[in-house]
Amino acid sequence: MPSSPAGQFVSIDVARDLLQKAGAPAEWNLTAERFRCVLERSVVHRFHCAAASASSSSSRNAAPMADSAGSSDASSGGSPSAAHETRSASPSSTRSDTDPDARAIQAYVDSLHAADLALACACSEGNAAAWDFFMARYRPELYRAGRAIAGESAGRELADSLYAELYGLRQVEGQRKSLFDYFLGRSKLTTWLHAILAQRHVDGIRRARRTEPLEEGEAGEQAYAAQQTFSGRSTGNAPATSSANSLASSAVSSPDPDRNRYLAILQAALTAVLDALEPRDRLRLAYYYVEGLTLAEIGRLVGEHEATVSRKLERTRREIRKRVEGALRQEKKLSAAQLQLCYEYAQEEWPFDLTRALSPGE
Amino acid sequence: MAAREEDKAMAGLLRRSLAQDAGAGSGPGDCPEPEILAAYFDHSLDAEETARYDLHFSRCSVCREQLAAMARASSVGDADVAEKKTAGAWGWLTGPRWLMPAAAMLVTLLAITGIALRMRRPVAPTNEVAMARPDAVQPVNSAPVTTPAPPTNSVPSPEAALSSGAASSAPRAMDSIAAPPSAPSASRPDAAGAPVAPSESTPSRELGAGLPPRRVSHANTATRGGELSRVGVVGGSGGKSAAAPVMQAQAQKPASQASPGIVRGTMQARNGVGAASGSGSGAGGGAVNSADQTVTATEAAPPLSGVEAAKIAPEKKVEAYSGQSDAQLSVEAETAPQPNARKARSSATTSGAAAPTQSAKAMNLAASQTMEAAALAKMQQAQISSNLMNLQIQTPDSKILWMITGADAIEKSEDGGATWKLEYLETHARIIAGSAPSVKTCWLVGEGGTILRTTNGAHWKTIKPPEETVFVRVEAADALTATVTALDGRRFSTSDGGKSWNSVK
Repeated sequence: MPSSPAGQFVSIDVARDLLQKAGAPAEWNLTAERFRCVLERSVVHRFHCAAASASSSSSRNAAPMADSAGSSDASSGGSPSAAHETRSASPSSTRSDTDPDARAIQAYVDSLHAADLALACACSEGNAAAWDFFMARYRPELYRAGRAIAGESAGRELADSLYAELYGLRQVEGQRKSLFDYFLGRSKLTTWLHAILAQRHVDGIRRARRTEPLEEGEAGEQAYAAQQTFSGRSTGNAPATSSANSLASSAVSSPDPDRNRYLAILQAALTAVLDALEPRDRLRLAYYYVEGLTLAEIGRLVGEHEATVSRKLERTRREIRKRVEGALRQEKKLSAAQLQLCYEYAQEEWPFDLTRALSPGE
Repeated sequence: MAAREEDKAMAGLLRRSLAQDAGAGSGPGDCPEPEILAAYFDHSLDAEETARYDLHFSRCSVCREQLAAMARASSVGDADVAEKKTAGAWGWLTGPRWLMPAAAMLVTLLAITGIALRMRRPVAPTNEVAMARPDAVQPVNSAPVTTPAPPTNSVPSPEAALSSGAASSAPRAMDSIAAPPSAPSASRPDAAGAPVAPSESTPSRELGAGLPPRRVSHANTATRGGELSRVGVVGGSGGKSAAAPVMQAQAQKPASQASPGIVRGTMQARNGVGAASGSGSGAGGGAVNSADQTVTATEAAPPLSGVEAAKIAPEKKVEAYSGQSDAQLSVEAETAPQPNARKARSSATTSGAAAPTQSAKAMNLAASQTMEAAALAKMQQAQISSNLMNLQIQTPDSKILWMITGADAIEKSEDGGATWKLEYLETHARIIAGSAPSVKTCWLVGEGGTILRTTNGAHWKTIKPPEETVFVRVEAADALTATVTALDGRRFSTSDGGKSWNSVK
């Protein structure tokens, strides 16, 4: 039965075919039913997300729920268990109107990285052979990625911290919970591992940033003032005016009103222009200027050749300048000399580093 | 401003603006899980999802940071591939088998030739070193070479940057207690222990800005609140300062050690002490500069009697010496443990004030603490020339001060004059006057049509002058608006930061 009740999207036949295609060794002991559950979860995740894009309920908790439901499903021999019911209850409300058609599901399932999914599935099951294979194949890569993300010494620690979770030392309600249960097969396993490393790393950094005391003395006070402004901002102003506000308030601490006035004007104009940018253009800029990625890395992220990235960055920059200068001349009636002064001011040290001051505040 | 600089400014702006948008528009709860990030990264999301996450990522610095980390992680893999490719490119080295012996032959041949060449002049290298040391070809060498010279020197070790100064100034302090201060002592060949320009204490400089008996100089200390003298700063820059005419006592030192240096005198008129500086005239531009300063200082101090100053000088000398060593080497308390050291330091320190016959009026003046009060009063009475007053530029913030200290340098204080930081200007024309309409903005004018402006309190930009003349005065209203006065009284004003100038009647 291809579409069984309670929203079974993936038939056992499809799962069996895919498992065969994945070429998982026999000693991994993967059953078609187990694999079907994994596929099912991936499909639910995918189309549920698409249907209810606004909700954030598809966060981490949803996946293990679905999985545990699936496995208990398998053990109870096909009949929908109580757990299954509770799982399907929440998404069904949104799914009913946008039930994905079979072709879309088929296409989606075909697009999955079946071999990686099979490995993740077997590892999650605790299969020793699969685990050995994973260690042999991915451990060097994990260490390398860890080092690339977190640096030489912290990188190894970062990678090591994953193993316990991947192996499933964490117990949830008496059941072994493996990080592998979250893998959906929508990306390569390697990329997924990178993503998890990246997430842990960024989380760690942000947590550290939040807890670490701000620099003592003047800088600290200024940063504090900035945070105050920022929290004022989050109560909801238009971004353009609020960033101007934050600068204006920084003018209080800095004793050069002229300079801060110009900076505020310039910043406000720039924020407005940036807000109007295409997401992709903005992304490239942010990768380049904020994250400090190389053109090649940006190209990897946005799926473009680095020459293209370079060209588009240049074009966006030109466009931004044109628009900012236009706005300043026409709206603020700045002369060419004043405009140049704006740039001159902007080039110098700012009253304090907004980047650093604001980022922990969000 | 050059287009490149504007680009730089724009880059900074973009960096700040884009970094600010953490989670703007969407709460952190909407950030996708690693599974989605990975799929996005692998470009396996469908078009609709991609567009949605593009939008999110373009606003969410948290996700961007993660994506950036992923990009780095995967580019390491790429780098490995690239490495392998490079290795392939060098493959030809190991390619043809016959190349290996050929290369080995070549290497052997080179080695043999090299040995043969060395054999031909076996002692040359050692000689070179031996000769180089007295010549002080390397400034670093001069410290170890000269420090052993003073007989009383107990610290020959050159290791600490300051220690040569310490070692030699301390014995000298002893000397001057025992011996008549005025006696020019030939046994003090090394000139270490001279006051050093703030933040510029290298051993070689101390050596250069030496302390021969008849030196006309200056002293520099950390000045305190109401204290008068920030007298002169003599710092040979570029390693060895010259002091050619003055430092005859240094004759036994190889002449080449005293190479052109820049002697910089600083003056502070704030407290009314036109204390003097100027010494050790170096060869080159520095000499002109210091000469200049000396003249100005001497002129500025006419109300003070040289005789009076000289009388006090000998008594103060010991104190001054110890103070000096203390000031210079706050690190080594043991070398100058005199109880009055601190007191001396708080006062002006002086050195070489010994010989009354030498015209060291201004410096003696600075040395004597008692004189200072009198000097203040007299100076105020005499209303020191406005020129001297102008050396110091007030900003709206009383804590922040500028001081014109030389041809290519200006000093800045951010604590009301207690400490000063030297900044170099990209000009060699003499700066005559300045005006600071705000804390960060300052205009300077001087000879040769020099007009400089800073808008950040640190970097100076040359402004195109209305004409190549000597400007003696500038009044700035802000970074764009200023009026300059030429020596002949003509005035020019600008309201666009010096792009265009209008003659003012």
